[in-house]
Amino acid sequence: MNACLEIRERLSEYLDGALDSEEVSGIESHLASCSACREELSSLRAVCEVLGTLKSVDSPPDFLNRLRERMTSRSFFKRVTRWLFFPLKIKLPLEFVTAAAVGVLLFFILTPQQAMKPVTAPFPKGVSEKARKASVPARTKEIRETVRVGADTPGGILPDTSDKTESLLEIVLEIRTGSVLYRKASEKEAIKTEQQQVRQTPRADLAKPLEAAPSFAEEKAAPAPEIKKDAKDDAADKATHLFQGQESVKARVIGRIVQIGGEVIGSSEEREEKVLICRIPKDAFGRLRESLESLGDRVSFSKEPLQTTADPVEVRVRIVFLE
Amino acid sequence: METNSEPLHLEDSNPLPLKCMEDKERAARIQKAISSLSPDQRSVVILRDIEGLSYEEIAAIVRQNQGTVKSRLSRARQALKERLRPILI
Repeated sequence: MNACLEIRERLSEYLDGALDSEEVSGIESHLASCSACREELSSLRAVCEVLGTLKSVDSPPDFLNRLRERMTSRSFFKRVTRWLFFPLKIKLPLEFVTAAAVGVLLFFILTPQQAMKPVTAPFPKGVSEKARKASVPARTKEIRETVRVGADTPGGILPDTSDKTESLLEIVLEIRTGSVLYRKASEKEAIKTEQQQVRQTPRADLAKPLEAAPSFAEEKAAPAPEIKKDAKDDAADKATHLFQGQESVKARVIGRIVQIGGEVIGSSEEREEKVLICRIPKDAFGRLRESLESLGDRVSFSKEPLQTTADPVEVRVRIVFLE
Repeated sequence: METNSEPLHLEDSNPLPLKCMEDKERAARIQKAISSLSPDQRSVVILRDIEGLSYEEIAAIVRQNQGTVKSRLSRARQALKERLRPILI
């Protein structure tokens, strides 16, 4: 059997006539006695004959030139694509992860930060507690100017003012809900101030805007529609306070508008935003802005009413409640 | 005009369509079998059995000694014998 294996390994050379005469005679004597190896030889010969029937195919005459050309002129785009994406199994997942990370990063960078915590600067040693308290401002006010030309009107019962004025003047009053709760502590004082303001107002049509928007006292007397009365937990209580606090702010804004000789002609409400549309004398815009500044944490306004020719001008006051 | 009563015998020297198809199919199977070999075995078989080069020439081309060429050729032929068994007579 071993002899057969050895002989079969040499059969290929035997067929090619690459063996010397001694080896040839050894193989032939084995073949004469072994039919299995004879069969092996005939099948190998058949293989060689079959392969011999295939014609040798010459490469095209300019094959090498074309190959060289293609190797050197592989386009820049293809090379870059290859470099970027291949092997797909490794690079695609990596690229997905990178893209997602960059997206998250951009989201955090580009999202405007709403809540700005007041920064209390450390005081040098030696400054007395009294001096420290005196130097901390009661409230940091920041006035930001934004130019809003043709700002879109939020849904609600706002009157359509687009045909009357080219661009509606807008005052944005931002109030932190925390400070609303704080103000609620001095509610009585607020009511008093409001009543005082209303009393002092010389205008005859004072009752009109108050009808459109109920005063602080009326608002407080009416039950809050969204909150169940029997809700006992703290969260509900807090929400009630918040709701009333927001109403009180709205009422006070109305008071200020009336005080400077304006009137409220419409209002709308969303969750964290109340919008009042009012008509005020053109020259009272600055005064309204200043009086609102004492009310909110931050007041911004679109522009001075110098450009508009209308008098009285229509102003949209957006009260934004920040968390 | 005199007409020749003997029919004219014209032989088509081209192979019959059926034979043509068989040959094509056979060639395709052989090609497939060769393609299934490892690159080393494939190049040796092609150079020897199709191109008809000598062991010496093949050794120079594939940059191996003749012993390696012989053993590769032997193994390649064995493998082909197994794969081409259905079409071998």
